[in-house]
Amino acid sequence: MKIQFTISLFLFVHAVSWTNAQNKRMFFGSISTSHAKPELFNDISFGNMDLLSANLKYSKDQSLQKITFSPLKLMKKSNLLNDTRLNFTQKDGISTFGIAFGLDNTNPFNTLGHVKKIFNEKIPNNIPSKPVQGAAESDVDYAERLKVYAKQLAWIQIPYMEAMAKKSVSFLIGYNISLFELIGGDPVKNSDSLVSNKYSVKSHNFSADFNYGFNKDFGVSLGAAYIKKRQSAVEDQKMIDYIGYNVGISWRAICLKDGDELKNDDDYLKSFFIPSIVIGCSYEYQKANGDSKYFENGIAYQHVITPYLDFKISPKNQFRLGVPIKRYDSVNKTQVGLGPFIQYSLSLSDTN
Amino acid sequence: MRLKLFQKIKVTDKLLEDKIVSTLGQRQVYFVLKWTKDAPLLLYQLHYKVGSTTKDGLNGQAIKDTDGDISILLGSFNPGDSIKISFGVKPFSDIPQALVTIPQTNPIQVIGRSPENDSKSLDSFVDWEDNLTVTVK
Repeated sequence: MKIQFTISLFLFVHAVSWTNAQNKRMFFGSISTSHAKPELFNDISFGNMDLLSANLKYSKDQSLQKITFSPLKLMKKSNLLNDTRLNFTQKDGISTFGIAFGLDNTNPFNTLGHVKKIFNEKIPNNIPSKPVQGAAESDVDYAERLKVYAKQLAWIQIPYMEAMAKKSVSFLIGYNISLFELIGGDPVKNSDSLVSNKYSVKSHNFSADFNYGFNKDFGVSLGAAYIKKRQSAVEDQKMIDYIGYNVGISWRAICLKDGDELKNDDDYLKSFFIPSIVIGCSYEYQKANGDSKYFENGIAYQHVITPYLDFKISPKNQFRLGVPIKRYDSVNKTQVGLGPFIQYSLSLSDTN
Repeated sequence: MRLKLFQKIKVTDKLLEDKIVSTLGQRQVYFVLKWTKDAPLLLYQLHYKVGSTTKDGLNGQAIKDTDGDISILLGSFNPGDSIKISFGVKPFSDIPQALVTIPQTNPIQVIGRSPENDSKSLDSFVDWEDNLTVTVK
């Protein structure tokens, strides 16, 4: 009897149970880079700096389920490791687990006073306190006065939120390990008399990412990756070095709410969420080095350009339509392909 | 300049002795808000009511701060006085821990607390408002 150990990652998202209180602000995540690596490196991406984000992606040749998480943000003490990220991904049967250390300047607890400076600059010193009911004032009149006061109090946070979205910076340095579906058990020989489940580790992945938000409407991202990867778990497979990088831009092209309508929107005031359509584009590149016999699918170079549209309807309802245009340079031929995909994203934003 | 401090008084005056004893018997009551240091926050409401009069402990102006600690003297009260306190806080980031205590002097002790156990975690821009009634001891 053959014994085999398999690894499978089940990611389950119960969106219906999320409450408003969990949809916290997304200064940086609201515009840029949450999925700056849509195709080649999406398995090792750590996403943005939100508390939790879940991604489900389906395309004609790839399926991906992914959760990235900042568990230390749940701790009651602030510390420098607040922005540590964990990654759990399953992509085409390969499970990937990773950890990244980073910094986000919109987090008040781990920066050099960026948040404090904006707070002091943008929040006036002479905000009136909540009024006391006058001796001759009726309950109805007082309630009306409080309603006006509450609105004014909510609006003072808008310049602060907009200032936070300007010059927002985050970076992450991370490591991921990818495992084959079979991670152990009795050796199984294939038709070439080679052990087909010799290895459990498919790849070691090192990555660095940098994201910059110019303002609430425009952001860019840069990333680099060094990957040691083998094509399959068969015993004669060697690990090959891959070098890659990615560049992405996002622009909020259409705001679905504006002016007074936006100023009175609860999602906007509580989470800085702007219902909008974002246009973006990313470029990913990967090059294999070494013996071409061991290149994954024989591919030496890969270029992927992905123009996409992000539909941000509400914090709980966001999805992306993208069209990756791929060019593969393999050992003896070049191919260009097109692979439309749809990606549904859910984010629970940063608990600082 | 005439300062009250140097005004002549009759040390044998019975009324003065009564006043001194009465003052010594009073308790100073404070409102103390503590939260995770460096988190930006606005204390926009501090109403307290003794008898039928409601007063504004902030004297008309909200306090913005990132220090993690605000203490405000509500006044001097007599043992047995009941004070109803209402406060409101707006956090400008998520705040892992926040806590309100109402301490008094003479004897020093905490006579009120919100939340009653542990501390409260605040979400960005979600106001925290609460009422508590304390009895001076």
